[in-house]
Amino acid sequence: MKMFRDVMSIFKREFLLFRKSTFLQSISVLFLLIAGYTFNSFSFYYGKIESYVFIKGLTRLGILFIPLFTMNSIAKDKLTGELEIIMASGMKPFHYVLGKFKFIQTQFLVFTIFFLIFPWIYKVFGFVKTPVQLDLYLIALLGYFLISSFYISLGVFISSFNHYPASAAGITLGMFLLCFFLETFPVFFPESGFSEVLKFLLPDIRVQNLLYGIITLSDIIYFSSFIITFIFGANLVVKWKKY
Amino acid sequence: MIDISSLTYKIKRTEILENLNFRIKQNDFMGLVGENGSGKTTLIRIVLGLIDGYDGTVRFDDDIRINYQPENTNKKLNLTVVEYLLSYCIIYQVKKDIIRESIKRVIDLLELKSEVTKKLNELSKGFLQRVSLARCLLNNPDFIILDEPFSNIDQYHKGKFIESILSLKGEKTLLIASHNLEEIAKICDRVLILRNKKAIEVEWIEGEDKLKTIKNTIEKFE
Repeated sequence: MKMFRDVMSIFKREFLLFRKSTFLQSISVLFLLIAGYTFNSFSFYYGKIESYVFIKGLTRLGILFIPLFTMNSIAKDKLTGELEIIMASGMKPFHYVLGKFKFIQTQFLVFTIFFLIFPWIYKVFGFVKTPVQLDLYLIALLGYFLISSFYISLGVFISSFNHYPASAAGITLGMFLLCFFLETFPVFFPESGFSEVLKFLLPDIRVQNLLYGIITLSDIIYFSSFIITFIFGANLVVKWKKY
Repeated sequence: MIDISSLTYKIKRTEILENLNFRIKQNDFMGLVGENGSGKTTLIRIVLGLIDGYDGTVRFDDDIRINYQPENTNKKLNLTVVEYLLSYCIIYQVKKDIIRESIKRVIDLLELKSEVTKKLNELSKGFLQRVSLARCLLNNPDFIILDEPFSNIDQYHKGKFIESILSLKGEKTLLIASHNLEEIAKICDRVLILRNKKAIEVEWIEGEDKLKTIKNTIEKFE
């Protein structure tokens, strides 16, 4: 019960800070606008709604936007000294980190729900005759939500050992881009043992099945375990109490 | 309220605090003085539970609510005074139906009415300290710890700040760390002097010159 109360209090505080932050609101709007544009372009290009192509495009977009959402999470509280005050109030580091993660994840859940209406808009107002396969689209959105949560937890973890939001954003973006570029390695070197490791480790490769509408338990376990690992990692960093 | 016994703290092999013993009773106003680097902030962080790995015991009464004002009160948040206080009502889990009342109470107490709509980064250091103390009082805590609350504030705000602190006498327990002996002598009933890793407690009798007693004790302590 205390855990729930603590997590909710951090969540509500983040919501208050979001409401007062023109920057966060602007990047949310920009993200949705570019997502809408992506949907529109891809749908025109293919003449039908291709779940895989559209959602894959959204995960690429996430690489650029998620660092902007996560950079302020813990690094800013360290910079401003708020982390010390919050920890002194008896808040457990794990509850604090979980609250931070949950808030950004919820933002992306709202975005994901928003993307649900895209095919409907197209069906009603567009000219595409081929209807979207709703089951495949929903599974692809589940994949999108999981990979976004993966990136968010990594971003929160990186933010936890930085004192400056800008450096947190830079390192997070660097990590995401590294994942992005390494994704092509197994294509060029399919026989390499390193390719096998990358196929197991890289989120962009692990999400492929879901984006094609195939649910595999191993992929869901993969994403869940990495998300939990990064949250515990951030919790340990906050516990070190390097304010 | 708080009982500290045989407290020793080392960073790697360097001793920072050595065998400290003291007790803070309910409604005590206790000063913590010492030069820069004498371990005041470290001791405060140990009391707050922000630092582990010490020897000895730090015992609290059950269900004690502690709030803390760190040395560097923040200017970088892009929130107004009211929004800042509201954010801490949320963190301190103040009940929804008394949030408005709690904020009003601390604003009146700290005379912040003229500043409520200003952003924190527009406030002077003196007002920031008062906002920070207001934040400490939001959830009606039992014990408040202030770390160097008088640094870099002008005489007017210092006077106002001291007035605000003194208005809490008999209601709250306070621990104030400072190297400013005059202010400590004005506010506190007892003083803990930290020097050369050790601590000595100073109490005075009615009518005694507090500042002189503290200074004499520090000299003897050398």
